[in-house]
Amino acid sequence: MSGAHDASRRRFLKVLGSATGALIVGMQLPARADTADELLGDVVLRLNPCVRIEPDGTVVIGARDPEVGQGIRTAQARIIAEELDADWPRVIVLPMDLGAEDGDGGPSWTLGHQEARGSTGVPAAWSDLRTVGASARELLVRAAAQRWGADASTLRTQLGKVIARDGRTLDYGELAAEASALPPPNVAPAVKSPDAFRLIGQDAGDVDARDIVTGRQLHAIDQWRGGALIAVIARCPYPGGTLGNLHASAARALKGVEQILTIPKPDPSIPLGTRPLAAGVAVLANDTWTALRARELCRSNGHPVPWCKVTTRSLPRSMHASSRRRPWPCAMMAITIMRANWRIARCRRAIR
Amino acid sequence: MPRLPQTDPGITPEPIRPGIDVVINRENFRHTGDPSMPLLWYLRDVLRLTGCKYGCDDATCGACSVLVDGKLARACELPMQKLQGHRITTVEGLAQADGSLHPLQQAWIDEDAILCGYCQPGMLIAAVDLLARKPDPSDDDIDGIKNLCRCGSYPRVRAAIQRAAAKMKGAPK
Ligand code: FES
Ligand code: FES
Repeated sequence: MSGAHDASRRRFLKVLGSATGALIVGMQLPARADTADELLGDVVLRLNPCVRIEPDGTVVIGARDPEVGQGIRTAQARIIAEELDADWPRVIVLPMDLGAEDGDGGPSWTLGHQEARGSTGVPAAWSDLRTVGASARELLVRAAAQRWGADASTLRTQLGKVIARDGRTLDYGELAAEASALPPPNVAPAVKSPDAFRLIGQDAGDVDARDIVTGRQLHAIDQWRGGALIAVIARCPYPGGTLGNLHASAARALKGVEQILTIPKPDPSIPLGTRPLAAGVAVLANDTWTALRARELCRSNGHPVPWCKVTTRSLPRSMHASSRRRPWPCAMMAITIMRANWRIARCRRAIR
Repeated sequence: MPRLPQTDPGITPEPIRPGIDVVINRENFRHTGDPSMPLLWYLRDVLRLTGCKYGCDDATCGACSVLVDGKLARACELPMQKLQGHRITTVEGLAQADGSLHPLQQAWIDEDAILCGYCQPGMLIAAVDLLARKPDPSDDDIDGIKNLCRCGSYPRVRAAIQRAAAKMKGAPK
């Protein structure tokens, strides 16, 4: 059984039932034309973001963004769990597949953005996750109302249960199969007001806590795919400097060094982000220790540039000098700095 | 008398490779690579015990803390050649073989002392060392742990150590 409703112009809410009686609610990008049948196979991994309520009451949440130590697996899962009124100890978080494929002009996302950068993980997913959680909750409430012949508006939810006015309760697991047969909500259901949050912003435990204290959590630096080499870079210490002649024969001779590459001086016509930071040399080796040792052995007569004289001390000196020469632009700058400081002070007061 | 299995004359057994023998988390290993390789990289790159973290590479941050014969050490400045015959414990070796956690690990979870978790393996090892020396540490003793945490988990780490210390005092040795 499946249904979809247009949650926004770009995303669809999908409701599915699995053969084992689980309720699956997720967001789907319209770009993917999967049929419900296709999705049922590995549905947890293809819907984005999604929650799956098993008949035994376990709530499985697909973690969309890559976890590299920023805690996003906990943060995003809690948002769904919050709106669902799930019982946090019964929540399991599974990493979802990475959905990237070649599009025109570079890779494109098939499951929505799956990135770890720029503090965007939670804001980008916030409303989708809340809608998914709230929709799953609404379906479960409607299923309970149907079962009891009650009015859905008289029912409330708490810790993975639907509760009736007279105190009867039904576990989410018992309702999952029936809920998956209901048509999905036509309009995005109401979400909680922040003062009703039980999980968001509260101490509720990190889903990776056990892995962290046992040393099993893989941070970005711990990722390793079979056969991958380790690369270390030495950069020209002067902004805009060049590498000059590289002497790398001693480094090359080291056992375990696979390749030594030079990185050209940044070309301003290359867009930021893909442009190298500075001229340099990259050593690729079988292990980090060899790579680090080989880097030490690389020598170059890099050309210093005028910038190499710039230091923290020299900057104010040259500013004073130029303020004497060109007072007007310097006065403008001073005003800008004053205004910025004033804004910062105002923000600080507001926070306190 | 039991008979030893005959060696197949067609197979030449591989010669025993010389190396540095170490015991890591109760298991025997032989390092056959560069003897000057620091323990940090042996753990991380060779054994893939990535709980030992790489932070500063100059013995400042403590992310790479391990116990060598029960004493606190920094793996980034310990070349393998100094370790012949020594017993090393990393964060992966703190829990029991059956998976039950060390009281400090449990206290860490109970106090929610974890932020990104990068420094935490080192913090845990430093805390094990502290409690071995001072079973009843004061806050000052705890602040004597100089491991760095970029996320600023210090107050909760302190609470977790106090909690574990209280728990371990009651436990039979
Ligand atoms: S990496 Fe060893 S102390 Fe920082
Ligand atoms: S928890 Fe992030 S560095 Fe300590």
